Amino acid sequence: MNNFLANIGRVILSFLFETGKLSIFCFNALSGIFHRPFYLKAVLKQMLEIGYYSLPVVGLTAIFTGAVLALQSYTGFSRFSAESAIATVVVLSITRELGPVLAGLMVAGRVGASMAAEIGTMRITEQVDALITLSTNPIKYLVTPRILAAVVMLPCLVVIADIIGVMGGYFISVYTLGFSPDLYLQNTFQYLEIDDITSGLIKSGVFGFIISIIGCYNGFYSNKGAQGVGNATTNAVVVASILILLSNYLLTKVFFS
Amino acid sequence: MTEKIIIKDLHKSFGSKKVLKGIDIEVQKGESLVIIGGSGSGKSVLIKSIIGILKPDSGSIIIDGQETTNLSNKNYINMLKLFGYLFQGGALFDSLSIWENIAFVPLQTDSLSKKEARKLAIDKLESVGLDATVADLFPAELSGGMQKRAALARAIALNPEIIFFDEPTTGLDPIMSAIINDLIKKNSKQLGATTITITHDLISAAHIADRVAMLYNGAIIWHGPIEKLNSSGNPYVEQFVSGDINGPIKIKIQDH
Repeated sequence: MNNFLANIGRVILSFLFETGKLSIFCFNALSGIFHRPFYLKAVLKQMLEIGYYSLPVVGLTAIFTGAVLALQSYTGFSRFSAESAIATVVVLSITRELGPVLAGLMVAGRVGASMAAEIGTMRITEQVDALITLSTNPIKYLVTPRILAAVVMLPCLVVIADIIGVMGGYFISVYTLGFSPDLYLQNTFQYLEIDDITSGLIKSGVFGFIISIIGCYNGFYSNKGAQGVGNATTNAVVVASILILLSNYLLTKVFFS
Repeated sequence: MTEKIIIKDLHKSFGSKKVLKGIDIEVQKGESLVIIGGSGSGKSVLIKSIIGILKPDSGSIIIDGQETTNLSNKNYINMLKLFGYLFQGGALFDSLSIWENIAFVPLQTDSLSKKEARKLAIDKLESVGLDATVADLFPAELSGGMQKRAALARAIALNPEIIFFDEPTTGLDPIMSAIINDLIKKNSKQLGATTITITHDLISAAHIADRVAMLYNGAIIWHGPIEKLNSSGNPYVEQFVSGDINGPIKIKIQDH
């Protein structure tokens, strides 16, 4: 019994310890935004890395998601002759939920993992220490640009994912389900409100922050050796994905209740 | 002679593991101190604590007469400008070319134009025996010995007053080790720098040291001029120097 309680206590303590460490890490990374020097070149490089190079993977995810949404809702809605609602279902699902969440998850896998691996390797080869000896704050140099770039680029990616996702639904509806193109587009925009889009974009900004801070944090405190970096990478993706799904629920509740 | 670095009763632990248990040592201006000791004796932790990469738990570090353990952030960054640090694996930044590595600080702070920074890098490459052709290569394209030399060029780029060398010859063949030893000695002398080298390579120590200190079990157990190393009269030092399995130093074969 004592052992059991001790274990619970240990888990809680280590959870509190990690949460505190992560909070301090966040604070240091964010305070880097307001103090000189600014590493503008690093921010641009990360924007390219996070935004531009994630386009294929996010685009492919979006087009197939839009397509399958149209197919599945057709199966359901045709049973009670409500086919005209398909366009609305596709556009609302994509802009409010699937665009931001799926883009977030894909970027967490692609970018979060690479941040953890890159910074983790820098940590174990002493490059992080070398930055300190060269009068450079490693959190500010490595982490702050990645956070800024992710928070800016994720909403941009989601705008594109929204468009491509709606297009995916459009193609399936028009070319295999036999909808009229004009009517489908009219149905798409008829019930769409600006809040549907902005809520998705705000969510994706939050997801960008989560992906970058979790990826960098795991890399920065990576343990020694190849296994340490491997664990850091796994944790970065798993923790970021779970936090994305959790915060998605909470944000949806805040926005629409 | 004046003291450049004074360390008093320095302690550092990680969790319940005490790594430094009260280090006391001074380094004179322009002197080359070599700290020897077995693996895991805390050598790296000691020099990382002096430069502030690790924060010591207690004790005092005085550099140029000023206490450094309680510096404000801004003063700490200023203090770092006095230091050069050669890391064990070189720790060159993979994503930057060799010349950008060497001229890292001037490029980040815009204190030199790009052209001047490049010239500085090529000058420093020359002083470690590398020519300008490697300037545009990336660290991964260089051999281990060349990486070490490029890292040395980065460590001395801003003419530091104090240089730390972390196992400078580990992983190099004997000839390359001799070259690195020569370069360390030549460049330190040229800069008039005070240096601390940690190593377990006794040939290297004999080559570059003015004075040797032995770290064992988190404390300095002996120090003296390099000439005395072979006649120290200290059983621990004698065992370390002769490489004898039997003696007062007990090595745990199995870690628990």
